[in-house]
Amino acid sequence: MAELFAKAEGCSSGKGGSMHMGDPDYGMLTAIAIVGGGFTITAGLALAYKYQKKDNVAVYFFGDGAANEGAFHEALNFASVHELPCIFVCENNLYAASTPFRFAFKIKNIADRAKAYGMRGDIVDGQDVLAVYEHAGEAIERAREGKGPTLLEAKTYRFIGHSRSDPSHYRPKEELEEYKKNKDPLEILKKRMLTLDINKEEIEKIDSDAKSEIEESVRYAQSLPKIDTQLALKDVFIK
Amino acid sequence: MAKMTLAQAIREAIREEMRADERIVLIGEDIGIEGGFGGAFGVYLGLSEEFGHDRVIDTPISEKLIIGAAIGMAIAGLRPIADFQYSDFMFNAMDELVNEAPMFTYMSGGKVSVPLVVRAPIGASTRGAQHGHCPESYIYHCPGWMVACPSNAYDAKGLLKSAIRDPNPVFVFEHKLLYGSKGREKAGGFELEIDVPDEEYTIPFGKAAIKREGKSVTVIATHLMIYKTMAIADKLSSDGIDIELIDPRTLVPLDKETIFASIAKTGRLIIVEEDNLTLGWGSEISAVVAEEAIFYLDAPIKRIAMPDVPLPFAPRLESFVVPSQDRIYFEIKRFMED
Repeated sequence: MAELFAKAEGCSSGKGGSMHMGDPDYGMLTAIAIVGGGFTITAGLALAYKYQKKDNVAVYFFGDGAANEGAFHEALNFASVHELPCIFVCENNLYAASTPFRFAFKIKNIADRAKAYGMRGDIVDGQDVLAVYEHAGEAIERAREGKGPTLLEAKTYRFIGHSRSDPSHYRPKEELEEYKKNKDPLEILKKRMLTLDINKEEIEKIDSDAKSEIEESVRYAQSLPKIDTQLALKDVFIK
Repeated sequence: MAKMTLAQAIREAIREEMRADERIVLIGEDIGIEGGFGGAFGVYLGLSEEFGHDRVIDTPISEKLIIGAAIGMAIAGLRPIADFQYSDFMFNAMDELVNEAPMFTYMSGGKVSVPLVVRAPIGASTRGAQHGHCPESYIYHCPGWMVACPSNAYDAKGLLKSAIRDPNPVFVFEHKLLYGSKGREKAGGFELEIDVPDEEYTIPFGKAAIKREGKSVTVIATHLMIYKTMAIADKLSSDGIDIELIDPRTLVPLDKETIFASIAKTGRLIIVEEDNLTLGWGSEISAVVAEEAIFYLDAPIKRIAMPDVPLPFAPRLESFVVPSQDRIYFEIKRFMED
């Protein structure tokens, strides 16, 4: 939260913000804000893990739009040739900024492209948390067993605009309403939890605990001092 | 002490470092293939036989992948050396080179380190416009990259070792015509196979080399231009022009101290570069000198460079646009006479 509020105490020392959020200590590399910029780096991380004989797996999240970047092609091909322990997770939410899926793809499923590289492609309902968990688990196991990379396409949807200033006029209103009403992943999970005899109060507590934690983080971040401008000149090089 | 070409010195540096540090791996096209050419200009010959294909990694023709994978490996704790067969191909990887490699440390507030070395051959060699770039400026311009320009075997070994051991991204530009001993004719007749010590040594970044001491004018040049300028230095001497020739060795960090001390002595600065005039590395050095050392100068700064044209294929045209010994001689002479 401190990073979102551009404070020096943030995980990227205020130098990254929402664009370059991340903390390698927690297994999340400083995020790349160039669409598709992480494909080739993911292959590199996986190549290192294989060389170091570690059981780490490199996982890269990207949208439907990114799948048309040249780097997608170069990275998936190489990862497949070398059977690298990595997973390429495509969150296909049907829009790349304002560009609908059908304007950018002749094919119907991005996962079908895996075949072209001789690697495993998988499709999952991105609105179903448990299904995603299962498919992800399989992909991780495959990676760790030396069976190579997976292109996992999660079919999903975007509930808000591409960015803060986007009113999304390029989407049919009914489409958004339909997803919000019937395909909200949190609602789907809640319903599932109720069928598993987890009672309503427990579910509401999880919700309210999460909200409190966020509010506490916001209070903490807001309480921090303004960032020292001299920090802008630091960390270009490692001494 | 052993006589070595620049290519051999680079190979020696890499071999020694790879023997000492398991984290060092090579990644590039055609670098380890059995029975292959051992990388561009044969620099890597014998390395895949000694270190195996896990450490000498051949890639498909995918430059973005070469650099991106090298970045990923560096972040994961290895010490990769990536190379381009020709520096011209680096443009395929500009996102990785500009937006990623040099920025991770900064964007992460110092948490992520990218100990990466990239090597690429530069310079005209009668192969046309897309195989003769001198693209140092593109990298020089990016905060976060260090830039080394070894012009001879001794510097190449020492600078490359420093580059490999540095925790930051370092781009090493080498000149195609200076790799082997056959380039001698183009290099003003100078011997390119020189003494390189057997003992361990490194050359620190930010330390220029004064190739020739003089009093009349400071001349800064890199790579092939050093040799061409050296070749006409004595002729200029007999004309009463005693040049002081400086090889910066690294553009980033730049040895301003040596450059300013030289200008304070001579009062004049000429830059000789193989790149196009506009925004070649010489333009940055000119700006730095103009801002920080102008009162030492008795004359405007002069750059001798390629005109702003892509490299033509015809050898006669190439010799016309790439600064030649004759042109360097006449331009320095005319500059001093004005």
